[in-house]
Amino acid sequence: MKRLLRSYRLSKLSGRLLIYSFLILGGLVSFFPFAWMVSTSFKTPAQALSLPIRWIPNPLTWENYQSVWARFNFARYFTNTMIISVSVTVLSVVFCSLAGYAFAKKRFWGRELIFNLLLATITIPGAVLMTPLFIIILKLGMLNKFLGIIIPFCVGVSNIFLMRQYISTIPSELEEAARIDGAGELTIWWRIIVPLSVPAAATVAIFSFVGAWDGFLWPLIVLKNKEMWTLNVALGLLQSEYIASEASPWGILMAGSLVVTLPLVVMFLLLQRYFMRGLVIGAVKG
Amino acid sequence: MSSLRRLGIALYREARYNYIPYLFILPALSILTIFLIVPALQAFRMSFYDWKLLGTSTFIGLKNYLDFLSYPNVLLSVKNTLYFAALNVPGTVAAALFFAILLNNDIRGRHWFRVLFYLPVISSDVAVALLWKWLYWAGEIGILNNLLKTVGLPPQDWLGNPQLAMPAVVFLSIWKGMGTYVIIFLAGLQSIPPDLYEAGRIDGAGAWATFRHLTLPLLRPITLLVVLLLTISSLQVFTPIFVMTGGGPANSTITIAFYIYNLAFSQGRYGLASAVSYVLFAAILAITVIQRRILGQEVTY
Repeated sequence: MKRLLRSYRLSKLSGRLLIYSFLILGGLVSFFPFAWMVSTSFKTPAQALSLPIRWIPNPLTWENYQSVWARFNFARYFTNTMIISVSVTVLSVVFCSLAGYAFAKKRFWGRELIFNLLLATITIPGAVLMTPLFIIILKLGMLNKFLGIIIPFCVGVSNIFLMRQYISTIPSELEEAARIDGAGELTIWWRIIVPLSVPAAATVAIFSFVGAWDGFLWPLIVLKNKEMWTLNVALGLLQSEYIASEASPWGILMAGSLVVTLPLVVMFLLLQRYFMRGLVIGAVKG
Repeated sequence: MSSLRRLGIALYREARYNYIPYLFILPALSILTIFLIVPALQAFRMSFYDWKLLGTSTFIGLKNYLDFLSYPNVLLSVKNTLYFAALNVPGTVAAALFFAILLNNDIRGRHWFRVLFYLPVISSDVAVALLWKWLYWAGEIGILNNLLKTVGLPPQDWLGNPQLAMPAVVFLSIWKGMGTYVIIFLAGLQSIPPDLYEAGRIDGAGAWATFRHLTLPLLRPITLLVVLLLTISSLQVFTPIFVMTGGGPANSTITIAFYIYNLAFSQGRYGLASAVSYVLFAAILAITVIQRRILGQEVTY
């Protein structure tokens, strides 16, 4: 009996060892490309091409970052991307909260119909919208303007859904009490619903920000003027000609990639809780 | 007639006494209508026209849809996209499920593994596509080939070889997308009551039997949802193609979304682009419907 228990423990231990090795391997595969990105971005052009491969750059140079920021105008693109992402985030939170509140708490004719219609639009692929949306933006005079990026994508149906799910868990007595006290509808939303739905709003804000920051195809179509580019558009368009024209383009390209990625990674590390919750709300419970 | 009248009365009442909810949904609804629903319908109309951005567009019936079969590379783009999806969907599901099951043990630092797996997800599409273009770089200076050399394998021209380019893009895609589904699967696994595993153990079920007959069936709804989400996104893959291969080599990585982009914005074939996009839309709808059938319940996002 004692021996059996010991062999059971041993097999359990080796099982755990196997689990940890696979996990660490997976973690390394996830992380290793980023390490290479950082390493390359601090190398001089000659070093980036020299063999054998060195992980720690020597000498370590900031030059790639300086040229990305100034010569390649990423300072400007960073500002552009920030303006677009913050605007999308603010509009998204406000509009989705308002709509989510109405769909969760209000009774009105056509509520289910409209909501289900909106949910059905989730299956529309972006490729379908590409051409006609371009024409609409052109006609509205939004081509080459931030508005052309911000307005079409500031309302996500899944965000309305998320807000509705969360707000419907807030007890209605609170609104009723406020209504009896003579509060107007907008006041009730602002003073009661908004403060009580902060976690859902935070999730919506984060995913809207990330979505706007990460957008590529649509800004590529709308922002033709170089001055208006976002970071992703700049990186996506500059890379191919730069690779073709430079013998050693990768130091600068990796510095550029890091500039695009780092804000999102920092945000994620600070706000992990909301990310994880957002993913799980969307998928498991519905 | 009377039902129409009732509808009229109902609407009048709503407009007169209960208009506030409509004001609340108005901003979201109008934006979604103008920038989502109208263009989606407009694309359908455009697909029957030889559409001109300036000047008059002419109605040409089904010609765009017929061109679909004969226009160079359209069918190739469909084939490539299906190939991408056929590798990417099972690959991502398998990898995500594998790591989620490992993490579902009593793991120290589970939280940090989740963070690590999610890191590629949060990174910009363009930036990681560019990063992998560099990892895959041909010759010894590419880090992947360099690693291969140290273990004694021959270097490959990953993105320059028509046989390898698409699998290489798929690997990036699995690496980038897996983290989301690890978290979703893990949440699903954690919602399985531990008593069930206890019962399995008492019945003498081994690790594989437990996985096969307990975990997998219980995860079925989540797995189907994940497969659906992944299929939809796979059929629309654009950014890694644009950045890493530009559709090459030898057109081996032209995908539908990439092709539509080129049709519309390089060649000005807006009508044909719309027709192709509607075929894509139809495919996505069909898949959604089939999966809902299989699932037998609402899929919620």
